[in-house]
Amino acid sequence: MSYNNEMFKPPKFARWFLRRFCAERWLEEIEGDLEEEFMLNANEKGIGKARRVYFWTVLKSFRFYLLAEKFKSGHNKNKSVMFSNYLKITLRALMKNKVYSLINISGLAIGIAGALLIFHYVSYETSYEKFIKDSEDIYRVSLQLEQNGEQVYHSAENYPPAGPDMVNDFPEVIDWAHLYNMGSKNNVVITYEEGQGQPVKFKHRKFLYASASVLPLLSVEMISGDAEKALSEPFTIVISESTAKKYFGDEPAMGKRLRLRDDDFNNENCAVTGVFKDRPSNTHLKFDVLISTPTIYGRYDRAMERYKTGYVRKDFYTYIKVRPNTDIAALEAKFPAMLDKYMPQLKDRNAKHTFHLQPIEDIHLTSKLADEAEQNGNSEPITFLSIIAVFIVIIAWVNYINLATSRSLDRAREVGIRKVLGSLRGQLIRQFLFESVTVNFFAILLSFGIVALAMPSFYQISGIPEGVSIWSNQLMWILLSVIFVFGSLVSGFYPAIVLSSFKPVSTLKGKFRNSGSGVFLRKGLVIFQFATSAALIVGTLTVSKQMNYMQSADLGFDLEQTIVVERAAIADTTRGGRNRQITTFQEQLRKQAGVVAVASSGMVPGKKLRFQGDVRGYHQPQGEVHPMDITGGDYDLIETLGMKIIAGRNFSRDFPSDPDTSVLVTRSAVSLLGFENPEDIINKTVVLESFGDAGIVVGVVEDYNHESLRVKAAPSAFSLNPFWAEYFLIRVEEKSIPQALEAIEMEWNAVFPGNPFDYFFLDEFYNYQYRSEQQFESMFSIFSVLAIIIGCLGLFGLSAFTAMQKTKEIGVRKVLGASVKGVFYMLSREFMILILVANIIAWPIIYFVMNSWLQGFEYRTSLDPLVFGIALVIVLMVALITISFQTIKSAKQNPVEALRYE
Amino acid sequence: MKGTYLGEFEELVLLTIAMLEDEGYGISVKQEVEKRTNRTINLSAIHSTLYRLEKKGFLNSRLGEATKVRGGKRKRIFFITPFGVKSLKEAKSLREEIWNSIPGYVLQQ
Repeated sequence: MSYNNEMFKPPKFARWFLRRFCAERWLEEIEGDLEEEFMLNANEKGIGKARRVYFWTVLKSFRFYLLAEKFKSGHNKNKSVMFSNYLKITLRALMKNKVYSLINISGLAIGIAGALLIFHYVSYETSYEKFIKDSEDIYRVSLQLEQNGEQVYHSAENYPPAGPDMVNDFPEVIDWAHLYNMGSKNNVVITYEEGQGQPVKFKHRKFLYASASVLPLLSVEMISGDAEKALSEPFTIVISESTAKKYFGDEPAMGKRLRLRDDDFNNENCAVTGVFKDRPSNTHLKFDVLISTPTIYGRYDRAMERYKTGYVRKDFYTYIKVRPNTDIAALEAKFPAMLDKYMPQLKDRNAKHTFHLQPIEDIHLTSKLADEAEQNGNSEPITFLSIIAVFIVIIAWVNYINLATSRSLDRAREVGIRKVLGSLRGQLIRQFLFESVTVNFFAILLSFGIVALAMPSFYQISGIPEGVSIWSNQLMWILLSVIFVFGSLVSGFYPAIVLSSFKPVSTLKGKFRNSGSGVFLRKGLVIFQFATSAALIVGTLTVSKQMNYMQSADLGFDLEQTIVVERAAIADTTRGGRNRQITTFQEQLRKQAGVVAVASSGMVPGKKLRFQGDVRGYHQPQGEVHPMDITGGDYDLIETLGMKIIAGRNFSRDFPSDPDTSVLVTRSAVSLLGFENPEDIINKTVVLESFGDAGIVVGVVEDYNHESLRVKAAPSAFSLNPFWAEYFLIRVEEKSIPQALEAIEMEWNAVFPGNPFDYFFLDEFYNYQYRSEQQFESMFSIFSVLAIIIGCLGLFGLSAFTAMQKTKEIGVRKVLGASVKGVFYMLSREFMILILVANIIAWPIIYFVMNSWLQGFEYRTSLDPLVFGIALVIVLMVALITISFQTIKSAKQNPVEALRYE
Repeated sequence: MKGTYLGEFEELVLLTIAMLEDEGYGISVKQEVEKRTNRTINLSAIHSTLYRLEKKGFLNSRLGEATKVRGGKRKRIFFITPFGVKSLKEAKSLREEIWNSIPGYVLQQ
């Protein structure tokens, strides 16, 4: 038996591990015992067993008492001694002045929390479509229509063959997919009839007809079914997991049949060929249900041309995928030739079409076309908020720098002693940097708490779906570490340099005063903070002024107390029968108490019109046409919407020819059609070129804002069509809304049996257009308040230290007869001047910024000088209150105490 | 009394130490207890019990000699303290008291 045999030694790793955790005072005997046992075992039971027992015993020895003892004992390496000393000094410094520490840490924490929340919002808003594979190579093809060199329409939708033809004609286009958007336009009800019990039916909005290529191209994640083939056959339907659950519960969905019915009399019975995982919320194209496009090719005789091969109707969202690194500009340059090839007739009509490629990732934030799949977001708030986030964090860091350097007086003696005892400057810098790391660390911990508390209201304000958790946002963690490292260094470095530069002799003599340059810098930082605050206040006030303006502006029609009901998806299958239903429904409603007016309409304000057509005055030369919104409604539409007739008359049942010939136009259409005054156009003929129709203008209505006030009120023409009836508009008395709703539902069920009853209020619907502005407004105001709070925290600390520094001066002044008021004035004056300067600096900058923001609105308020005044007063007041806590205290102090100080 | 309570295993170890006189250390205690109770015990359990008993004041210790088998490491020899002896006696008399109060017929079952 040889002890030199390597195998005869206990496992090295176990031994190493034991030494790591075992306290020094027991290590020797434990190791000895272990080794002795190892030898015994090795002799009796063999070497392998001995090693295993050794290993196991070490693992089982990993107990708390050994570990705790290790930490208690001071037998550590030199480095950790330094480290623990830094920690001790830092904690002592923090504990010594709790108010200061609290201000510092909470200021930083609020700043960081604010920045994290904003960042989460920004990263969510910019994450749209990124989950799609190769999203950077996928584009949507939009269609711009021009007539006589004037843009008529720019649509997100396109001709059905645009995609496939691009793949055929251009080698760089490698794939296409298109979707026919009907769910958002027509009323679609999908029913599961074959289950037990009552048929399960739901109205569907997130529903599209899709080509087979949609599933793979848009990275739809299939749970069952084959993404490549699921939508290639007619009468196949693919649904989301949650939709499947709604219809079939826990039963398997594959192969079940769902029947689609809509208000265009379509009736399609489709088999489920796939179920996909619910789509993430960060996509502009949200869908729960997809039906294969071949389903509609057989709808009627020429449906194939209508839905697949013809450049006739332009209502397909078209996506293409290009080869990586394709030159998009070069590709777009080839489109005019392609359009000439497929639509040679355009030239004769003096019309021009243009295809544009929109990167799919940019659609959510930049695209504002007609027929968008959903109301897209705005890039403006993203930029604004990002800037605000940066500023908030900087303000918080500035606070730290300010407070740390202003406290230098406190620490000067410590630095002096340390230097006398032999500390090197580098070591002192390290110590103060360590302090800033610690403070930043505590701040980050605290900011987690703030974020967690703020999360519920944040979801509500920002509109981010609750499933998108901030904690699982990897970018957030990266940003956080950057903030931590960068912040600790940036905010720690200056104080560290300043504090470590003190001359020991002067600090110990007690003659030490803050350097002139330090004061200058501190003033600069205060100015920066309050300039930011003032700018944010002006911004907030301006945004909310614009919002108020938009919501109280005269839209040309009345939003209040109007209930809107969409037409029924399942109605009588004959035109005549359905028209009777429409009339009956309205007549029954008119009889209800509390109902003021009822009308059917082809439009509802707040929703882009489906039809835009070319109109000209009869006397204007052919070819000179003017794009206008064209919509239809019945006799009561103008009255129900509260629109004003400024010339002529409304549609009337007293004129039997009205349904065939009459047209109403809006004020802005009058001059386009070649007339000077609204009165002049009455009884003149206008030609609706796109409809191949003409009409006699019987009246002129005041312009109204069909869409958000971001855009100009469009010139429009109304034709009388009582049966267009896409919507029923019901104006009710304010106090009887609940009863009216009940009555409407009852009549609905009586007239349109089998349709789910659904309604919305016109004002809510219309104001939904301002959702992103409203989010912007609330985020803007919240973060301005945050910035001000952080700034004030800093000011509070700063004023406390200024007052402390001037203790002696105050004492002397009071002895010589200064009043409390006089001392208060003396202490506040400096800050007030700083804040005034900050405001003056902020004004031109924020004026420029907000002015350009307002330019985005066609109808906007002005930038009010009063707003700047208010911002100044607010900042001054808040600052004065903040510093008064300190200044009043110092001013009231008994001078004897003050003079005894030091 | 809190902290001086003797657990079953602790009592065993304490008794063994008392029995081993000058020879009580990790390995010897382990072997003795294993031999007498016929169960396998991990050395770590012996160590933690010994240190606990020492902390409670039942045991005292000093470092012993180093041997080659131990890789040149010294062993810690444990002795029972008078307090330890007292606790053992108390534990024993407590048991005996209870034993004595058990009615005879119960034990004859």
